[in-house]
Amino acid sequence: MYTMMLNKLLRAVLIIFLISIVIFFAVRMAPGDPVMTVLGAIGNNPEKVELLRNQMGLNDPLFVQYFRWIGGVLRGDFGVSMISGKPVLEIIMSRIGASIELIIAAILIGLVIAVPIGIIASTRPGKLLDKICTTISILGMSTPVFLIGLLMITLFAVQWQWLPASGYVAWSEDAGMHVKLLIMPATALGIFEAAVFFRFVRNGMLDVMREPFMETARAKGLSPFAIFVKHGFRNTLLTFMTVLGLEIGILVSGTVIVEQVFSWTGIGWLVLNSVSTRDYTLLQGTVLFVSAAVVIINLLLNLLYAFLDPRVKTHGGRG
Amino acid sequence: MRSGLQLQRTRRRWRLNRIGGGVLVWISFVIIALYLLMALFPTWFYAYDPFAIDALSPLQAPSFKHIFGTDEYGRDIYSRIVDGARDTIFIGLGSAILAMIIGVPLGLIAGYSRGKADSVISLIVDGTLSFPSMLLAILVVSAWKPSAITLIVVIALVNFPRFTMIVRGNVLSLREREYVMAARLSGLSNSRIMFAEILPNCVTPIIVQASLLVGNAIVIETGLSYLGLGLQPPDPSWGGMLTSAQSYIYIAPWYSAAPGLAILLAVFAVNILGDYLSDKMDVRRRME
Repeated sequence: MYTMMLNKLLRAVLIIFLISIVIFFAVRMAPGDPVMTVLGAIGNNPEKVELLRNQMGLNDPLFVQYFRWIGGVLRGDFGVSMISGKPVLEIIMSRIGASIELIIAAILIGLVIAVPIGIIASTRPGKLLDKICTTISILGMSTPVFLIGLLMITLFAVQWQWLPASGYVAWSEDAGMHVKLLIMPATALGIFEAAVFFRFVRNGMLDVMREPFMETARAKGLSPFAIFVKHGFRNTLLTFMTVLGLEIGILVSGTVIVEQVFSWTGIGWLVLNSVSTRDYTLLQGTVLFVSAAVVIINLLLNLLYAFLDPRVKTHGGRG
Repeated sequence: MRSGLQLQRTRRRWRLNRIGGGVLVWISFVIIALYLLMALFPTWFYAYDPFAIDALSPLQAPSFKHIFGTDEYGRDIYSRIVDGARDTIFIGLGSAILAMIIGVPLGLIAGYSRGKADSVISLIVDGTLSFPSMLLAILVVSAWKPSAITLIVVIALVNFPRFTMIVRGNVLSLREREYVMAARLSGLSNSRIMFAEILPNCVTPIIVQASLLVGNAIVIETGLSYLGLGLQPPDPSWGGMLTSAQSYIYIAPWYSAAPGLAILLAVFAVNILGDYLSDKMDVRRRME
């Protein structure tokens, strides 16, 4: 058990390390080294540029620069933004709350849509209702999230004018507006996730249904609700955590786009904003921070899973 | 992480036969054929020159003259959709093929040699799969300037592990078969066994995965071009058209319909086809 945990921890650290290499060199090895180009554009005085380069250590070999960067990151120093001069970590922290809020709201909306439908579809597999739900979920999975977003804006903001089209207002400024603005991006992302969640609830339920304890529940004469929800669904919850772990990466990708569609100024918006201002230190720092967070969340879910499922403990790990 | 492998596959498994999708499959075939023709021979489909600016009729609603209306420069939206098909389809196909070229040999090596090579490859695969692919794509494309080549390479890089995973899984079971033993005993080289004996038996899952990846690649490509990181104007791109549509959403709410539909149909058709192939070709599942 502990060897397995240690093993997983080690893998996670290695993965983050590999990602950091990719993030650093993918930018710095690009033709014309964008970091140098941007620096050149800031100060058009060649002497000043040379001074800046020396100050920032950009004249050292790339791998030296890499280790300086990653060394700083390990000490919690992600460098400073090339444009605003503020510490990268500080900028990330000011934006991350909005994204976490959006993702949690989206997961909840996805669950609210998917769980009841999934349970109902699984009670009569292969019947008309199941077929309709399944087809809709295929459509949901095929629809890029920005299309869902645009459709929602067209309907709810332009056509019926129920909700504001886009923007972000802090909770402390205007709580009502904050919630109104959150509804559409969270729902767009939630619908996208619901299609996937539906699959897992439905298929997970079908698997559980074959277990002997379900037979017992039926034989005891329990109500359908008790059979399907209490005995059935509760036993799909564990697998669900693994699903969530895998979905986190996809959710984050979706968030980046959804935040752009609805101008929700979270981390995804920050990433795209640093792309358009060509603020590469901010971009690299943010991408590394988010990727590491995703890997760590995955690791935690994995470990939690091992804790919660007694079978993993006794069999010494099957995750 | 083994459970992750299964889940990734379940995510893709749609069990079309259960939906009774015979008609859907035929419709998908027709849609894909039309898109391929549009990509290869766009001039057959043009109603107007997709680049012809008509300052007198910007943002016209759909009519018999312009079935999907005109954009902010008075260009015919339908013809621009036709012209945009080429980039999206070729980037989709190109990245799937490149992902196959990278991913399949890695999967063969990992599954066949096991040991150290396997651990290293599996680490890369796990890392790439847990990584939010959109972030990597945005980072690389913004640094390397968007071009067809950059897009193909980036999309292939975030997707190749799917091939590696599937091939590796297949090889692990195939390598214990008698015919592989026989090949080994008769003194064939390892690379010969991998490519000539084992690979042909992995073709089915590879083809299925390739078709699903084309759909995924279209989603990433149109997403990137929606974010302004796709191929640059004046070349029409479906995602880019959606961005313009969004800025005129109050004046011309129908603008986004055509590019949106173009993307949705392409992804849906490719996914349905991929699912159909996996059901048709998977012997084990046919017997279920």
